[in-house]
Amino acid sequence: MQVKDYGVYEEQSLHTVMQAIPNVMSVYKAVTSSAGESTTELRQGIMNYAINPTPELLRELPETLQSFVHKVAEESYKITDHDIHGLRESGYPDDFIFEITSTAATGAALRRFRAGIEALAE
Amino acid sequence: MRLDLRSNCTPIQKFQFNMIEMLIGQVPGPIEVMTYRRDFWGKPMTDCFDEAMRKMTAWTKPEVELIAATVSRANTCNFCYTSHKAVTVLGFDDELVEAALNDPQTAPVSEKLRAALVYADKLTRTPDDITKADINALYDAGLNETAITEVTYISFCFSVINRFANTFDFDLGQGDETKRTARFLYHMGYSTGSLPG
Repeated sequence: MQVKDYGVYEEQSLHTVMQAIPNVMSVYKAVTSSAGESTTELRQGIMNYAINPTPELLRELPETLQSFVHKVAEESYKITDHDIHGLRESGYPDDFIFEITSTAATGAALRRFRAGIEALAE
Repeated sequence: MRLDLRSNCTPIQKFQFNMIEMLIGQVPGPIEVMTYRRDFWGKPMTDCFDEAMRKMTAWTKPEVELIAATVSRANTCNFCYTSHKAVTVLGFDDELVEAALNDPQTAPVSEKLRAALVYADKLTRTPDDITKADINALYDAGLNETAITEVTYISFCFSVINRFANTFDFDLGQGDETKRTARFLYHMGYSTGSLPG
């Protein structure tokens, strides 16, 4: 039985799209692979969700981060002081908050970039 | 601003922040956020802004600013919408800008730019709905592949910074800061977004 590896497919497809603008690729690589307060595994999970915001991918993230990551990617205008306070109260330092915000924001923007470049390449 | 983004700045960056404050009245949120841990995100993001907003080949400066304001409106980001509307009116008539931002479909601009605004708005609001038909409409309006890629690039840049502005609550200031920032951006560009040091 042949099993399609959608994870690998997604990764290759995204890289192909980002080749249109190398500087976009640099932003992606910076937020997903730089050293930081958060792990690269967590940031890759956030990136995956922001690019493809399904409930399944959101549930793979730590519960304490799900609401914030969702808001940054999908409805950032709804974020209030309360959201930032909540993360701090859960023990996340500001550097961590900055990193996950960078990742979710970049992923949501890549979702749009990919939609445009893929339609252009059809 | 919900995070203290100057907490780790170097003396050289602090000096540059002070100079900007003297010039504009405040340090715009995007400069703070792209300077904070610049290697993590700010430096490569600044390169994107500089390329998309000042090294474009298919669009003029006021045109890319109008596209940026359109994307910011679609992302419900009041900070960037207001800021880039203020930059746009330095190159376009006030009433034209107001009308174009109120309804891209009836924007009183060239057919090519109107098609770009409609595309940028749809791409930002509903990216999953973008199809080859949307791209064909752009070709019909006179855009080529480069022009379409450049609009898509602007949507990327502002879809990132709009989320930062909303998440960290960037401040527009109380007085003429928006106008001063607009003049700075219009004439100086985006290459200084992430302060070295």
